[in-house]
Amino acid sequence: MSYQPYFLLTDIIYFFLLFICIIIIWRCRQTRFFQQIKSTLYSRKALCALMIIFAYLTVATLDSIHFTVVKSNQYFSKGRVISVLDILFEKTQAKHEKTYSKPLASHLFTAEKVMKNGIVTWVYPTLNISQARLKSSVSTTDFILRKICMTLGCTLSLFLLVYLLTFNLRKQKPYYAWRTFYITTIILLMFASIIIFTSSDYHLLGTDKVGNDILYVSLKSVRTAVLLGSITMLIMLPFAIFFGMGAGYWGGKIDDMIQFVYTTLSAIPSVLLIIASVLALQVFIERHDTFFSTMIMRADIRLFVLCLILGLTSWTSLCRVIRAETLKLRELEYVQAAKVMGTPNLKILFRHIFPNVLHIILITVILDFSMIILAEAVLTYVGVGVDPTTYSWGNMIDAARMELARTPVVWWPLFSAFSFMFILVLAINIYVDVLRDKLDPRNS
Amino acid sequence: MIPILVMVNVITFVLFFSINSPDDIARAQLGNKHISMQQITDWKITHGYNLPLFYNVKEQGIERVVQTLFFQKTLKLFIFDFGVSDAGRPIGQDISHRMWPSFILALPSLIIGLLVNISFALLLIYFRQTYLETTGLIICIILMSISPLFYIISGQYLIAKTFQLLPISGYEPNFAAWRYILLPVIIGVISGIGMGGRWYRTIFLEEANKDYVKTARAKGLSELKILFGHILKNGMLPILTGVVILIPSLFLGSLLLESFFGIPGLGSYTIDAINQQDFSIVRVMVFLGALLYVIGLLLTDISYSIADPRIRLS
Repeated sequence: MSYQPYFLLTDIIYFFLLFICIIIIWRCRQTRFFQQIKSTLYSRKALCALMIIFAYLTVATLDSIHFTVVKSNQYFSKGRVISVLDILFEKTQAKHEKTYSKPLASHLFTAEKVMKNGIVTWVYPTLNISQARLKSSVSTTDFILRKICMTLGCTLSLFLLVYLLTFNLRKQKPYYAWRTFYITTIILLMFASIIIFTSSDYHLLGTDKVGNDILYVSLKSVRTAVLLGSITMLIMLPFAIFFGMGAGYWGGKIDDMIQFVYTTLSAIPSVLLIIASVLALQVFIERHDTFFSTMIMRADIRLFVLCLILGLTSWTSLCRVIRAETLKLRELEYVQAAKVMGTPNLKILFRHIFPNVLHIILITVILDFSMIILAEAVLTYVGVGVDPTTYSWGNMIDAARMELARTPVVWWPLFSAFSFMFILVLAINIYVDVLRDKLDPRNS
Repeated sequence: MIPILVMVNVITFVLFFSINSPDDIARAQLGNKHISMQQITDWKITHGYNLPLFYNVKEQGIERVVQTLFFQKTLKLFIFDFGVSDAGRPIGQDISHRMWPSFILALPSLIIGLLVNISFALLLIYFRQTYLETTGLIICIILMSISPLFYIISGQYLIAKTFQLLPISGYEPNFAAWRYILLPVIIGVISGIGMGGRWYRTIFLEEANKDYVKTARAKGLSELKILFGHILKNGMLPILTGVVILIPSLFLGSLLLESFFGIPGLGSYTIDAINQQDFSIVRVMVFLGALLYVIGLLLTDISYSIADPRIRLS
């Protein structure tokens, strides 16, 4: 074995979270609430959005399974921490370029001075990745045709598999938007197979200033975004739920105290609070850098700390909403009845009140998830986001923001960072919109 | 109100001083790694960091509490004595200089943004249950899914670089400022439409479903009259709350816009301070932000009682 499993802190938390989610979904699959959520899949746009979100989650999950390289091979040196995604992209990664190249280009974007027979000429050097292809006898047209055939073949055969697997289910449950499901499947499969088959011979989205493949960097950034969103939610939820329901249910002194805490926290402009905490912790990490032996561990800790801080600063708004709803629910007859019959307070909270604020929690969590993905880019730009060595869309934008000032314009790094971010956030927002219509018709 | 501000100060104080001791601040400011203890002590004395954190045993009486870092560095903020930054400049003076560009940028963004968002939301209500509304809502979702950085970068690229209508960045005092302010304001307004339009729409929609609107319609009032005379008027109350929530987010918006457009306001001041790890400035800015928020809360309460006489201030 040349690879050995390796666990980063955020990986463990992420898989723990996935595990909890799966258990909750499995346990609650019969409840009315879950049936309501499932009924969002009757809507075409919700189904499409959800599938795109799942595609992103898959990339993030693949990228969260890490290995250390025990024996160095032609792609990876010994001791490096890599993920499944790195292994899928090993060929692309091995072909490192010098600097910018356009999407699908075969030559570098900038010319280089070459001495030839004593005369200085400017040439555009061939990319490392396309050297093998250009040297071989196969013509470019043939090559592209062959790639197209492979892509189509792969897509169609996988699609056939999916079609056959869902055949029975479709007969049983004809209400779901099956046509959209199949069309989205085809599109996603096509993208996947294009990436798999051509990424070893082309930089599909070009390369950046130091010659990294943009597509690879963008895909690696998916993990950062997803983890940042989900771990923040994990940290934020207990605070918001317990404090919100507690304040609303018990009222009095407890309510005053909790209100004081969240007013204080929201009085500090959230950006500045985040900046202040990140700065303080950054210095802490720098001073105790012996704790974190490798660079990847340090970047990982910083990601976790960022989640922690975002979680601790962003629970206030959800807490306020839950408190207001609990105040209303407390006065309802079934809660009063439960109280009269001597049901313990905690049991009332979790039997009678919690299920009725659940829809608010779910909607806010998913919405905040997309907000955090957008906020990450802003924070990284300000200089308090994720570690500069972490792959993230924020870092990509930060590195590329002067590139539009160049002539000719280098547009592809910004383009891909923004479009990857846009597609994910758009999918989440569209899904939330449908979900809100289903769960909370009054507010939509 | 005052307890909140004190608490804010305690939080920032703990954040900055317990994790970063004054020694660390001195080391960060003095720069190089090979500095003697003597240099650090000297720096701490000249910048007033040589006091204990909360309680000074060397002094007598009230001085035991006064002669501490907590009192000197944070409680003095309440009388607007901001002291000197770690780099040695008076913060109060810097802030009074940099306040105006920030103000000139933030106020038009807020007002124009509000007007645009409210009229967009009213349009959505006017055309409700038609294709125009669906299209408008889809546009809203798309607009709010785009990163704010994209608006800034593409706006600068298109308007300032390609068409050269306005300067890319920079600032001039007095009336010449409008040329530099216009682009950031436009970008700020556009990036807020998605969120704001939907938010105000839900408010107006709730009003539009109430009985008095049906009565007005039954009386034969025109839709436009209902929209402006009834729905808008009654929707103003929840909008007032929303505006207060906007104030802190205005801070974030300006932070980004100012640093991208090179406007010498408070936002870019903060970002510079962050990059130089000048904690005294960040601390002052946190205090000012919290102060603004608390004042905003107070103003909402007052405006509530003016807008709706049924609500009394207790």
